[in-house]
Amino acid sequence: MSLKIAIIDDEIHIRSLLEQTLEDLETDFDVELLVAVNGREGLEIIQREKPQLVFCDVMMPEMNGYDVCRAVKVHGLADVKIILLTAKGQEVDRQQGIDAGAFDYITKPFDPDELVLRAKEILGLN
Amino acid sequence: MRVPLMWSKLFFRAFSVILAVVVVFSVSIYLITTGIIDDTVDQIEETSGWTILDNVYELVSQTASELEAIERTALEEKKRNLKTAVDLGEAFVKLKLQDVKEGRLTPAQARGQFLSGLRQFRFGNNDYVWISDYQSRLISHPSDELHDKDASQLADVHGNPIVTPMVEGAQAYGDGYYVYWWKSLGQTEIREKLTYYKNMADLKMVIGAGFFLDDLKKVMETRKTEALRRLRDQLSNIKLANTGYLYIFDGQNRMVIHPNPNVDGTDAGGLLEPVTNIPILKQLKSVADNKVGLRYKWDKPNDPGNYVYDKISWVRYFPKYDWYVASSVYTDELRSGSKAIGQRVMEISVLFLLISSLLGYLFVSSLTKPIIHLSKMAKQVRDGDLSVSSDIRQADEIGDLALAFNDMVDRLREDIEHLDSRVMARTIELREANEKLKEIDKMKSDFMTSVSHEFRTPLTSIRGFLAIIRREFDKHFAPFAKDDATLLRKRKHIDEDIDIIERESVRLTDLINDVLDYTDLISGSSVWRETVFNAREMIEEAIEGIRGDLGAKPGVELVLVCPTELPLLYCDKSRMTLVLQNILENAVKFTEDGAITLKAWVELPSKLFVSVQDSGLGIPPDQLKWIFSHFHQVLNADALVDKPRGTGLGLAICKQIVDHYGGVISVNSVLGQGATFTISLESYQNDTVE
Repeated sequence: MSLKIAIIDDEIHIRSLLEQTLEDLETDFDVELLVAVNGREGLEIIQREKPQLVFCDVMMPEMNGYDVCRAVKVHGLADVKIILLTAKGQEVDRQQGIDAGAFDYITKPFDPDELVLRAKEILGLN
Repeated sequence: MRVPLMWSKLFFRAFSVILAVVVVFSVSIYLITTGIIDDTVDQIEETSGWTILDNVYELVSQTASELEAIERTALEEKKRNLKTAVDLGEAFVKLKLQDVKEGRLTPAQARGQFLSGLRQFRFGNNDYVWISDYQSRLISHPSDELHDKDASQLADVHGNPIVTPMVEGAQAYGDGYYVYWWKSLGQTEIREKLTYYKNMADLKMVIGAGFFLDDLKKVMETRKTEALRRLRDQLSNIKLANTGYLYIFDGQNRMVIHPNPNVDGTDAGGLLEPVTNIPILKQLKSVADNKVGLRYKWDKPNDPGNYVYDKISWVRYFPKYDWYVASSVYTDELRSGSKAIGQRVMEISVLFLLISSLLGYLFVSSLTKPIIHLSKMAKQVRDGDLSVSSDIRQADEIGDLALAFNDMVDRLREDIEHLDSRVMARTIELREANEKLKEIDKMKSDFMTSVSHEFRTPLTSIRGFLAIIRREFDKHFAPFAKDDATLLRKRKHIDEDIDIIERESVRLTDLINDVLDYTDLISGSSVWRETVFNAREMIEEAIEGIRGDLGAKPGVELVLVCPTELPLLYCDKSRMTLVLQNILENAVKFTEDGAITLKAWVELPSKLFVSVQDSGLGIPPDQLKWIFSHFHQVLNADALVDKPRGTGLGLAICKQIVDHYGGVISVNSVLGQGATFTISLESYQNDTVE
């Protein structure tokens, strides 16, 4: 089974940043990167592709990060680990994310290297 | 609560004063009056005792005078009787001599008839008439013993001649009285006799008649006894006080008159006064005619033999009869008058007291009631009830006070109503303004949040892409510059430029984060996560947090002065650690060479102190007070080679956090000799928090 990482963000630069950050994993470990531009599309991809890891922005129009987490939980996709990208200092946001079913969170702005390390760790890559 | 009038302080005070005055007045009046009355009444009673005695004495002397008068009159009457008897005898003699003149009798016949006729004549108490011739021959005498006998040698029991002096007296003076001792007709007892004699010169005879004086005395004795009985009756009717009485005794200690029949008429000379054992009558005699009287102990008729009662007696001596007239009375009875008056005065005083108290009560009530009423109303007003109004209408100062009070309350009510409406209006204005401010505040908060978010997204891109650029540059382009000096120099410049962009973007991120933190802290929307932890953990974590900074400054050494045992703290551990870390970062930042000393100690009872002392530039005194304000940075930091690039919010955030837990953060610095920051926190006690 191939490894899949989904990226959900409505900001094109962030999407592209995440893609570029994780592109080494694509080449080195044959990880498939899936990209969605909003929550709804992201949820569709998750349901369809069942990625092992999802990087999901919190602040999105219509369906935000928490909604995505809750929906994933409702659909019984417990193996999907969602890492929320949240603003630093927003304690309430973080707690809300954990409650909604997020696996972890990373504060923006993030260190690309650190992001890669977390992804590798979660996917069990070396 | 309604206070009873009696317990009103004002009433109590005023009424007490009035009561005290009235009581003092009444008692004084009573004491003064009874004192005077006692003295006066005693004096009056004593004087009256003496006066009664005087009157009785007068009565006695009057009685004596009367008896004397009666005696005198009786003697005169007897004498007149004697004269009449003698005159009758003489008339009888003359009648017989007339018969001789008119020839009915011869002189001898006449002489025989009148001499024998007179022998039969009796008057008074078998008294008679006698005739003697000048030779003292009793030519007519009823007694055969003396009739027609020579009596010139006759003498009475005392040896005095009887007939001759009268015959001689009659010839010398015509008539007269003569007293001698003789026996009456048919009797042998010799008695004193008074005889009237008269000269019958033409017959050369003396005619006489007499009576026995003791007959008169007998009559007088009866009279005297009767008078004495009357005196006794009169005396027994006179009472001194209740049981005081009058009595009379004579020089021979015989009780002449005494109301006690056992004592009356007896010899009382042996009666002793029990205290002194001197005969009482002897003592009484010694005070005769002395107004002071005699005071002694005696018994009472209803308590005989018990000689404990004070008695007083006054005595007057009546020399004519050798009588002592005395009055005696019991002293306590004498005082009973003054006692009765004293009691009456007492009753009047008490009545006066009661009436005065009642009047005082009414007066004080009328005075204090309105005042209490007003004070109660004033309290109501004080408690906010402005609807009260006094209904006291009096034409005096209290009435004025009540009216002024009503006016004042009215004015107050108007003012307050006016004020209320103004306050209401202002409150509405303020509430609106406050709402607006809250709205603005929320807007600001929301703005800050969204702004920081909006900042964060491009920053994320900038930093992220920069990292990728550096990675890609290092990985794919740098190797090309390996052997080319120009490219090598360019590569170095690009590295430096990327460093600058990275540093600045990190600083911008920090700034945004700090602004967000600070905004949360001062708006109160921060979430605090309290836990109990050891202070040592906080210190170790803070030191760990600056390990990197410290590593960059090899000339700086961190010295830790800390006891092994440190107390527990109860607060947001990560935030409090951040505070200490921030202070340590500052210390490292401002110190180029030298030591940074971190000290921790406990002051009793439960205060933890942590201080961080650096040996850096120090802080100018004029900036010390601003050091914890936001966006403040020490200005002389220009002197540093590598200028600090903080956000200006670090210490402001620290202060907010320490303040939140009631702690104190302070700074102490001497310019050029470093600075010391000290935090003090209340340590955790098991019983303070569950």
